[in-house]
Amino acid sequence: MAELQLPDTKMNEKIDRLLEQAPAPELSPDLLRKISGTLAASLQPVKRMPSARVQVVQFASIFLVFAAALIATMGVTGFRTLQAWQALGIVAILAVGVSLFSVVLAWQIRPGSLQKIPARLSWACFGVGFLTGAALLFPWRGTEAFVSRGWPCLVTGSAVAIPGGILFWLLTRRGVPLSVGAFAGTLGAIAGLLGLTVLQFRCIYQDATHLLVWHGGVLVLSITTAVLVALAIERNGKGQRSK
Amino acid sequence: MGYPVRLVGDVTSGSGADDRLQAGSRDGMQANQGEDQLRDLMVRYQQGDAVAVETLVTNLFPALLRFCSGPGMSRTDAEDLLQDCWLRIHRARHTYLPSEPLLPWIYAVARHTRLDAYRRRRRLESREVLVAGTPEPVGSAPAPGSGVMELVNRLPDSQREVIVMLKVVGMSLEEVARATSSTTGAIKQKAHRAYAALRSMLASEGPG
Repeated sequence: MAELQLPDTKMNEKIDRLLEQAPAPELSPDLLRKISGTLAASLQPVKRMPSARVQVVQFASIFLVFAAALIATMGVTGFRTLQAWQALGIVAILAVGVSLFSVVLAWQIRPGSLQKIPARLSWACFGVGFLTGAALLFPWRGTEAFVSRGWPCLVTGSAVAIPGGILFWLLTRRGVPLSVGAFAGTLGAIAGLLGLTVLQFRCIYQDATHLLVWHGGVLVLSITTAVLVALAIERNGKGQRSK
Repeated sequence: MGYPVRLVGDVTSGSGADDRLQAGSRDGMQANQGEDQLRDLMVRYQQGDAVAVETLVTNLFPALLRFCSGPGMSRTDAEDLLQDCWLRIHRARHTYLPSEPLLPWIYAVARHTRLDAYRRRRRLESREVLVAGTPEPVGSAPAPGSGVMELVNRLPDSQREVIVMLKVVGMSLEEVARATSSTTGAIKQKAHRAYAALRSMLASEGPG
């Protein structure tokens, strides 16, 4: 086995040697002066962004305060109809979602963060978790008046998600997201989760089909809209710059 | 002037390659000192120290210029990209934290600048109307570096940037993962594929 790998290993060593010997590009004093001069011209002390940990706590706290205010206003009729284990289960799922999206959002707005979970995977993981949780915790009743009972939930959830999204966008404005799609999607996910949370407390139709389609739909709609809007803005902005 | 942080280890395929990728990618203490000095310069840059800016730009110039250059790009294109890259670093400087490694932060911004420039070029190319007998570009000298760097420039962009960051800049696997918003596993895979491609290119023609 060792003999079989020897040629590759030798070749790799040769590549390493060649890469080490590769000449560094020549310094261009004019360019150096130009860059340093441009940067120095607008040089001012800057206040650093807080650490990722602090930002995660900020995002989660603001989510909780905003959600609590909305729930207090819109009522907890639906939550009262739940059994203790159902309530506990859905609160646990929502808490995991808030923590997950707060962490991913904090990674997205700082270049060079070690993103242990890619943004898209985090949305998918929460989606699967919510689907599984809803399917296991809640009864599967008939689909009577499925649409007429469902669409008001979708509208209410989305109506909550829009100001939520704007709030989190304002909170993250000092950040520098490098992947616009991933950042916007995560912003949409946390805003959609806010809508979903309010619905879980308010809605009286706590059955699996309704939750999966109409409450889960708020999250999907929120992520999709945020990504599309962000990509359109980015494309438009770059299109204008390249003209 | 050489690169700020120089790599001495090796990237290989086969058993034990992952360990070598992870362990041997920096010149030990010298690299750490280099990184500490760069972080110190960056902190002073955030505080508004003009001398620190100049020193930082000078120190990172060769490696960043190499990173900004690529196949089909002239030295002028690479220098324009480098300027754009520094402007973005300047605008994003408040997001750097001294407790975090500096090079992944710098290269994450640089990578984003390159990707944007690439997309812009593609958009412009798609609008161009080709005429018969396109003239040869005047003075479009190959990107900085020669020999093996020309082979590296032939790699797919995702592999090229990994090789440059790992072997030319001297970043660790985790740092490259940070810079590319990826995982260390994905970086290892790209490095292995890049080495396999470089081996086959070397075997067929040699670096000159």
